[in-house]
Amino acid sequence: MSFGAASLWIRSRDGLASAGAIMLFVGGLVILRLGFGPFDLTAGVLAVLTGWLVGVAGLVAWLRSTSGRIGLILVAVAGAWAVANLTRTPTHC
Amino acid sequence: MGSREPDTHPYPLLSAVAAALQLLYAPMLGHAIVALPGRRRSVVAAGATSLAYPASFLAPPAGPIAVSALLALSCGWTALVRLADRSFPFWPSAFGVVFALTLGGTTAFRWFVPGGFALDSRPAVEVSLIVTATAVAAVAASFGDRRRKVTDLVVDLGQEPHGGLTARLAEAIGDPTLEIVYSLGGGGGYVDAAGRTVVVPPANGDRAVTPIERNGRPIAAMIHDPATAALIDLRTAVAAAAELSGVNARLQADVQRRAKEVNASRRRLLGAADDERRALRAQLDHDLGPRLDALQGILENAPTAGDGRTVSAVLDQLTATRAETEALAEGLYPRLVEELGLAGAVQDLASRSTLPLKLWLEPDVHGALPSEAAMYFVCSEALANALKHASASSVSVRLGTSTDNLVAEIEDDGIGGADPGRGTGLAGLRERLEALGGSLQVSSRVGHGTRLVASVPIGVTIRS
Repeated sequence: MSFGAASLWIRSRDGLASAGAIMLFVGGLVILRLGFGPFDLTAGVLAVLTGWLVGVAGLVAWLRSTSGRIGLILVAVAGAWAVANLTRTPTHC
Repeated sequence: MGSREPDTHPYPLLSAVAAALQLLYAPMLGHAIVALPGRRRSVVAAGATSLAYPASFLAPPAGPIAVSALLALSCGWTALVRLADRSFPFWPSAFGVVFALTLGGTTAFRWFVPGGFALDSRPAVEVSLIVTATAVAAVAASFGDRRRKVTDLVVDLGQEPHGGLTARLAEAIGDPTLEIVYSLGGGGGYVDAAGRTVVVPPANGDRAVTPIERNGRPIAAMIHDPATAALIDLRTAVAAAAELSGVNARLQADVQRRAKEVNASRRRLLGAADDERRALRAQLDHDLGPRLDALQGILENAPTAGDGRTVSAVLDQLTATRAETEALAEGLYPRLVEELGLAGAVQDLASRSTLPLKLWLEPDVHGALPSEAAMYFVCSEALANALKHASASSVSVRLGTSTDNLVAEIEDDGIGGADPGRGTGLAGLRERLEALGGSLQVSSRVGHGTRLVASVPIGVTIRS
């Protein structure tokens, strides 16, 4: 794939959704690493799963809906949820 | 969600930011709920969601309680408004009401009983968030499908049959009662896709009328269920589709108007021709007929001193001439139809036929004079064709009524192969019937006889 084609793919809706999915996945791992300690792993996994599911729901809505505003808001909800979970400290678990 | 001590976190700055934003997801979720497509935007829900944003920055316990209460109000109000919207899915609205009641109830409980059960315990928040977000995404996606269908309409319009826009749009928005009517412009009223005139009903509790405008000019109107919310959101897309479809409808209306004018003109011509035929018939009856009678009388009473065979031959010729004149007069204008009615005239026709003929007449079959005369001509022409051209050995004639039409079926067992496009007999009959709003079908396979089915409205009249 040439850079031009890759750039075009990234700009397409499917490409952006895939990039968003990758960011959600990475964000979840970051939350697990920075927000939860080894003794709070179950809570961490639940929090990450919640963020992922909300984010995927948003991406699906964004892909299926013409305007896509609601889907993007849901992806933002997932992001805000991820940030909120960074208050969990490993030392407190 | 409980608060944490930022200073114990390995990344204090990150923890401080996260602590400040830890409730931000809740008003954002409310924002997504309020933004769902709908007929009416609720000011209450939008206001509660807006207030939830600053409330999310308040310290616990005020922050979580305020955000929960505002989210419950926003979600509950939106769900109630959507419940009244019949084009909106029921279950998400019902879920929204239950969710709002649960959230509001537990928030109130926490407000009055410090330390009591609260919905912000982790599993409850996570489950609620997943379920609510999934429901919102599903509804948004379903409305996205509807929008896509309407967009497809615009794209596919070139291949759409007339009336297809209404049917497909009705399916797309979930309102089977939808009607789209197209403006004729200049106060000329509205027509449907087939060009028929439509009276737009006044908007009342049962029906709503949504005008469609393009560049400030009314091009169409949608008559629909008042609770169909999607139409409001889709008005722009519908306008594009309706503009193109409206051109077809206006053309159809124009074609129908011209066809009506042409048909009226054909009927007037037919009426004028029938008047001429009637006058000719009268002349034959009143002038030629008596003269032939007088001539016959003279010849019959003439002295036969000379060549008696010559007088007898002249008399024979005279009798034949009278019969042909009668036939010609009856062909010009069927006076018998006026005198005996259609059934009587056809029975007379059958009695004069030299072919074996089976006749089925529905009791009391009658109509207006032009219709009966047209039917008589059909029977007369069919019998003449069967005798002269088809070499038929028998003919059957059925005459009756069907709904508002006189119907005749004439079938012979001749050689077939009749072509209504050639000659003037069948073509002339077809024109006569069509001018009166009727039709003539001819089935005539070679070797399988000929079958004519003629139909004409019973009460048709001709206005000069």
